[in-house]
Amino acid sequence: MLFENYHIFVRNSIFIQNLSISLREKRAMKLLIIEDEEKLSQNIAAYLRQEKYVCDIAHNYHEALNKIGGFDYDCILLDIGLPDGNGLNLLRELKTDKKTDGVIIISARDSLDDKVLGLNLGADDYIAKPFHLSELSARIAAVIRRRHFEGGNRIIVNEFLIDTEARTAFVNGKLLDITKMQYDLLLYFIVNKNRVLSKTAIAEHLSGDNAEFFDNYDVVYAHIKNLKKKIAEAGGNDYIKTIYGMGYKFETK
Amino acid sequence: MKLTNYIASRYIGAATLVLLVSVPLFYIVLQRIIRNNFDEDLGFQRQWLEEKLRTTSPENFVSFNNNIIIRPGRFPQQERFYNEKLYIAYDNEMVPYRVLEFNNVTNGKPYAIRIQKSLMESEDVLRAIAAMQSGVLFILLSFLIFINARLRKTVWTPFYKTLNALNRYRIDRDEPLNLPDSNIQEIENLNRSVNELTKHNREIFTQQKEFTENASHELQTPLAVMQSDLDLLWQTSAHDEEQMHIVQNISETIIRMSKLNKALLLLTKIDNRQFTAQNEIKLHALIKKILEQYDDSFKQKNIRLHTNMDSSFVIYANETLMDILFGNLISNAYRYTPENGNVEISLSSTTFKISNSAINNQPLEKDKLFRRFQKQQQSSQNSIGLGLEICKHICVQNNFNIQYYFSEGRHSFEITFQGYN
Repeated sequence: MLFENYHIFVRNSIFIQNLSISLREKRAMKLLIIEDEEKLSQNIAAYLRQEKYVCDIAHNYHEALNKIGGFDYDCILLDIGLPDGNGLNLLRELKTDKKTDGVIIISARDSLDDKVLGLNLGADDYIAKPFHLSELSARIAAVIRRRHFEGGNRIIVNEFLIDTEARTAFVNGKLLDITKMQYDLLLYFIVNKNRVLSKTAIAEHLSGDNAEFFDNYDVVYAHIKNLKKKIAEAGGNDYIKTIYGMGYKFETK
Repeated sequence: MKLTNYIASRYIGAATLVLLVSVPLFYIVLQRIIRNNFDEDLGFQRQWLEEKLRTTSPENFVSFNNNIIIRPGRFPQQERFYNEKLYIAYDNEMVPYRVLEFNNVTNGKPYAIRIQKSLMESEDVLRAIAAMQSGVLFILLSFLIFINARLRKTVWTPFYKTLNALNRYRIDRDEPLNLPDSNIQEIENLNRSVNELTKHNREIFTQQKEFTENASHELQTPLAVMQSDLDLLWQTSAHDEEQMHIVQNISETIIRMSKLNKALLLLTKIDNRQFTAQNEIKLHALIKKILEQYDDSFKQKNIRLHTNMDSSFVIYANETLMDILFGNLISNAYRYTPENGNVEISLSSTTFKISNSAINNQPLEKDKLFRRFQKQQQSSQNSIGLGLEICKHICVQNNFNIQYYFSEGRHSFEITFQGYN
């Protein structure tokens, strides 16, 4: 879980606030995965359980409806193409029940209409299949941050402090002079810390909606090289390890 | 020419022709009949006169109306009928007469006898008949035109409605046509056939569209399963480099497949004209937004970017499509510019032009450029070969003209906006 390994950063004035957050959020985050493809739901659950999330799985509309009625979840992953009902109806159900659960739509349909409709109905995010589990994990973390801390949130990992509202990063209290893309990259590493991230996953994450953006991993390599350089200049440790032939890892242990 | 007018012009023409021929023909025939009657009449009068002259001396013969003239002597011919105009002092006009001249011998003396009969009344009758016929012709023609106009309103209006509905009908946009019943059998048949046809086509279109969409979408889920399997495999320890290299390749292939899928789906959607929402777009703002995303990447490759854009230019189009169009062109320019190269973008109210320095001094193969899966020799490994085709389709749909040219070591793509100046 996100706030587990906090090395509390005393010099920062937000210490008290962060302490209260980490105390309040000691309980495990609970997720519901609504996905009819059994293998996919199991894989998602397996990955997220390693992140210390508690995962429930529902394979169809009715199962999902029962679980939503019976439990409170921090975040719900919702496949809208369910065999016995449209997932968007579940979303409507949730919103009429005034449940505060964060919802991420997982859809095989990467169509703008579905996306707009889903977000209008109150979903927090939308991710199109196929996706990298590290990407999904980053999105879940962002939704939970927004839901629980009303957006004004800081992530602290060792000497790093990330202000996700202002979209800035600090090392030892010193502002990192990094570009938007390098910020995205750093945040992605930090929320997926101690995980191997493949070059493809990083490239996909950085390109966002722009499908044609990165097809050349040299760009990923260059961005990582520059980020490492900036962190070193600011006096931070080199946590970003290159795992040859695989990808990169932000190693805090 | 409208069908009704075409038909009307044919039967009005035929009727006019018949009447034009028939009026003089009728006149001539009638005239002939009347003359025969006159001649017969004059013959009777002659017989009567010859009878009379046996008992009465020609000198004592008194003719009423001066229509019988008897003179001593003889005509060169024994008997002759002819027409002659005579002056009538009473009416002060020339009047046509039918004249019979013949020779007679009474009491041993030759006499030339002339019998004449006014043709005035019969001429009047003929003229009246001709006038009446012309009148009938005129009335008939007026009726034909009137009936034609009425028919167009009553019979042809449903036909034109059907025609207009078909003209406006777009299979991707409209529900099947539901044309009303008509009491004209042919139009009823036509409308029913059109209703059936549009309904059937619409069903097939929907099925086809759904199939393409579903096929593309259904592929995404197994890809997602494969991707998640790989991600989990990634996190387990103890793989050697060779294995990881294979996994990396599979992962890249999955992404390529997924992108290909999405691009094909996008093409289908463009071709089906499913991007219908249109609004005003400030092109320079849209392009700037795209360029911002490439900010870092341009710096990374040390590519210099020159822009010269008219900030007031606004187009009316679908925003998603414009995003894709300019995104693809900029992405291509970025991809195919060498390090330390440069990209130039200009936008005016007539043209958008993007050019970049070429990696090698080779123009692209023009005939392959905008075609599906036609990769260029210089294409990057990961290119899926659909980007420019998508651009082309978007341009065609928006009536833009897109062109490629190569000069002085630079690739240029130019879009001309039609109807925006």
